[in-house]
Amino acid sequence: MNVRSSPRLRAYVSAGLVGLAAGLAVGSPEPVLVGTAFLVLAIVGILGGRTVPLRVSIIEWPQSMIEGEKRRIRLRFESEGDAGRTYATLNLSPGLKVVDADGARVVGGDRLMIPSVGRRVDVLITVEATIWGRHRVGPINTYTEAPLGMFDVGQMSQDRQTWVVVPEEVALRRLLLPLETNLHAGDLVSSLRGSGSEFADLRAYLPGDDPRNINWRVSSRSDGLWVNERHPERNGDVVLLVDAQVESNTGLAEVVDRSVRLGAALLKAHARRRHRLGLVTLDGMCRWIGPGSGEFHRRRLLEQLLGVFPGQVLWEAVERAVVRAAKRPAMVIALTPLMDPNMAGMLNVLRRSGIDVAVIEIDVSDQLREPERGDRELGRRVWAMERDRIRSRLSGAGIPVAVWQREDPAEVPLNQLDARRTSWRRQLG
Amino acid sequence: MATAARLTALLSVSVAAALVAITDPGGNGFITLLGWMTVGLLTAGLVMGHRGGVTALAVGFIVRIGLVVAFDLPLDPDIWVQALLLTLSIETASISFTLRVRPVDPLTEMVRGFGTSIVVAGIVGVMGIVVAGATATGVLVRVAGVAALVVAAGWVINTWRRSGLA
Repeated sequence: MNVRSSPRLRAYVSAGLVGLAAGLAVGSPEPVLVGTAFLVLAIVGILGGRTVPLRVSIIEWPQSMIEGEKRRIRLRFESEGDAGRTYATLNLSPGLKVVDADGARVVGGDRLMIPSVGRRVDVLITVEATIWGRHRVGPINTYTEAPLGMFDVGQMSQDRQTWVVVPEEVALRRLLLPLETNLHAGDLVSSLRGSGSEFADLRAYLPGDDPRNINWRVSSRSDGLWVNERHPERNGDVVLLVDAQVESNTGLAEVVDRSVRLGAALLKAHARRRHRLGLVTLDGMCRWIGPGSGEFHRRRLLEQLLGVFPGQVLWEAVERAVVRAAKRPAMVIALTPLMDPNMAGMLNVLRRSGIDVAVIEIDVSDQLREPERGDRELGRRVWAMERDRIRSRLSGAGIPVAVWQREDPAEVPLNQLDARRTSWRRQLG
Repeated sequence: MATAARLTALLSVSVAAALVAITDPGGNGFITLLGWMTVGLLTAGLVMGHRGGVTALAVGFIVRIGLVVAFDLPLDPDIWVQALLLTLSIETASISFTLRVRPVDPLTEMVRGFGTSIVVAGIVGVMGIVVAGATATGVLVRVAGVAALVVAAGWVINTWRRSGLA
């Protein structure tokens, strides 16, 4: 509890005492009149002051939100007596905005004024998430005023709650599907043979084969028995590699925003197809979560994805981490601006170890300033050529690269990658 | 909040300046200078974030009233008007400082500030009618006055200590 006198209290007490002294000095009542009035105010203000302990708890808050959504938070103010008019600072994350309050008045930003706090008052506030990320409410600072505002009592409640705000939903109708499947049942047609519904081939009957697999139409036209071979329906592992390595304060932070938005959409779409999902994020740190499934796992992935911020990672640790998270038969989808040549090297390493890799390059060209001088123009051209070389090197290693322009919907690079992979498979027969 | 703090600070300085401008110390340059110095101290306190500026304003104007009376100059306008403007200036300056450190509803605070000013003006006006024409001269009056001063100071300090706020 922090009690602080207001400037008016000092002013009134000092002026009151000086007024009395001045009245004596000059032998006239005028300064005494003003001084006495001030002293009366000060005394009334001090007598009316209370230091009532006030506790604030957050009793209802959203578990998660979608960008642009409005949800309610319920706060409970409890005190041992009547605390009077109380102001509260909610310390909301910058991405949250108070749009309405029931039981209190919003006095700017995340600050509330509760006209009177009795023993227990519930305040219901409506907040709007303006941007994705991990958001929090609390710790809540409260300020209780004396009746004449002679001093105020500041208190802090340690209760705080955090939740994730996921980016606005981007519907992806088409996805990049893993070429290899794992052993879990799913909706991907495996290239292996086994029990399933998709016809693969015919072969001669062998002892032990299930009689239900005998193809009687073919067998009736030949000497022996023939059985149908089928592709089993299996599940796929998808690992997203989100590269947020851009320098902050360069105007390129939007690249991270786009990567996270697409990443969240991909996670949701693949989770709907019941694929096992993993995530590697490269920002100031390299963090990874191996492939898994389930709601809890998806929530962990989202929390990590939404905690991404622009930064530079130490490459020594990255390769090991990525190889650990992305093992065959996983497919790796890299969302990267390809600003760092090390990224291209690491993608090559993954591809050489037999992992199916696809790259969605987040285009940064329209976010760079136009070069002002001739030498800068030349530098920009050399840089563009280097990036072309990186792309062609990746393509040469069997890694399809699609550039995602700013104005394009998210499905465009996915369709490009799918078309490229299909054409390569056709070429390879 | 920053805008509201600036606006209330501007209002406070304007009211204090208006108080100096409308009072007529009978051509006494020293009293006029003291008035403007007080406004200057308030302005400096508000600009630099020093709360002592408000105290300087209050004390400065009380001393100014004492000087006007000591030089037998007329108190023009009436003392209750001066008390009203002085309290309003103190209140708005105080609101400005409060706005800088914690959430405040400026409208509610301003309404309270006006209310306090009217109450002070009322007290001063009523007491002025009661003690009209009285003078505080003579040894007995002075001894009683000093005793009243000591008692008032002690009362304030004691109330402060017993309130548990110290």
